[in-house]
Amino acid sequence: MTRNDGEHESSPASSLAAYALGALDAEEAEEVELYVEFNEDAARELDSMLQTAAAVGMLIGTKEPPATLKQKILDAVESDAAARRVDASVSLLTHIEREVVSGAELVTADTRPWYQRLTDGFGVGKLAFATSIAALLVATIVAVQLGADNVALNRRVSETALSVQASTEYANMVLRELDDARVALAAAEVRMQQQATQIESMSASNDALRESFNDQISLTYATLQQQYQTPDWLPDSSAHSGGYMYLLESAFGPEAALVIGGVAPAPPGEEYRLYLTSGDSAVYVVSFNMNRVGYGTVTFPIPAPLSSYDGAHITMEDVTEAPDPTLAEPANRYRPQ
Amino acid sequence: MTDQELASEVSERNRDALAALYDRYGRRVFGMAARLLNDTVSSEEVTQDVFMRVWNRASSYAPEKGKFTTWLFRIAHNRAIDEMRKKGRDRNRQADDIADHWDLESSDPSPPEVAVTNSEYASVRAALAKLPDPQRQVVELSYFKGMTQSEISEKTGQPLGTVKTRMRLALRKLHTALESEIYGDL
Repeated sequence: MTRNDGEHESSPASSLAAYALGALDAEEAEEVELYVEFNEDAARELDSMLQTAAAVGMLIGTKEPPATLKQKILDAVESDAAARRVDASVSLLTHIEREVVSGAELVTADTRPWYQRLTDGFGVGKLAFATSIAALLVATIVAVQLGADNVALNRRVSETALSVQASTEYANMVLRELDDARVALAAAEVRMQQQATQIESMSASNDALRESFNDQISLTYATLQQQYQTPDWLPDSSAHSGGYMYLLESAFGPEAALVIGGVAPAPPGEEYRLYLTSGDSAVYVVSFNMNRVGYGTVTFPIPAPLSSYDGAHITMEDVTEAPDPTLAEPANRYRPQ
Repeated sequence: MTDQELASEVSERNRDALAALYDRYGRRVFGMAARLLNDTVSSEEVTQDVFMRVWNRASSYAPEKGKFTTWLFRIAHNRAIDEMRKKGRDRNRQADDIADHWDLESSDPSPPEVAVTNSEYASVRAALAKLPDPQRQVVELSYFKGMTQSEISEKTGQPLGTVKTRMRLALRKLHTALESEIYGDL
């Protein structure tokens, strides 16, 4: 086996030629590349071998490629160039953006005349300078447009905030009105209950009044038929009660009727009592009460014709006590309020 | 324009310069790929990729280190080998057909290439012809057929160290014979 410079056959140094001829697998190739990276002599030797191998490659021969290949390559190159132009534009815009950010510092730091700084711009090439100016103009236009958009956006935000505030105030007002309406509704319900009570009371009074009227109509009819007649005298109470009272005497027997109105009902536990008076004496004849509307009608037997008496008297007494004629004394005569 | 001048123009993003280099070496690069890959579609992809690398890396070409053609074919060979290994070609089958593909006398440069590289081709062919058969064999199997040193060792029955040594000796002799062609008049 032939060895060179004592190199072991498995060492990277022994594989330089194989590397140059492309006869190593990926792992072996990496070992060689790592080896020559730190060995200048080996790197020079490998470079020489690589160039020799490449020169040999030209001997393989020619073959006509597809006719479209050249144009395909040039198209790919054009696409690559376009992509690079885009990348360059992006880089330029990024650079301009940075310059704008630090613009104030640059202005204060560079105190040279403007024409010298302009010359610097041309110093990097007219095309680059022109491109920079164009890009700066584009960036300025974009910035102005963005600024205008920002102002419009701020205005819309302010308008929206005002609208939201107005809506909130309106909603609060509606809520307050709703609370007021609830209070008013509660008060109305109370009034309605009161009115219902009043209506119920009025209905009852109306019924009592209708009953009294019916009685009065009956007595009036009876009087017109001369079944009853009024005495020649009028009870004292009739002149002071604010109401009225009639005593009617039957034409067919010892019976009389009392029709009274405008007198309040007796308190619970008490009742009205009718006495017929003659001079200082009084005789009890009947007890009665008023209905809730202040009317009352009662018929009762009489011990003697009304013409034998000079008057009548009404008292209000405890129902548990016996009639007390003394209460009908002229000095104590009850006068309905 | 010389290759060096065209490469300089390409580094300035001159498409016409790249088109001129393609006219000169496109058939050679495609031919190398086709011989290694035995696949027209893959060879076309490799050729396009090679010239795209020229377009993107022309500024890295250093004339003081060698001629442009050396630089170009080094890129082309590396790219073709990468593609070959990626596709996992049956190199044994290719090696069996070596006589059908490996014909130094069949080179037929296109007219634009003739003026530039005809003398180079003659020099390389002469240098290879002078190599001892065992050394020329390892160059052919590795460089032109893409076989690894281990595969060559297995195929030829020679120890791996012997294969490495033959490769090294072959390249040294080729370098000596082609030194003026590789470095030119620089």
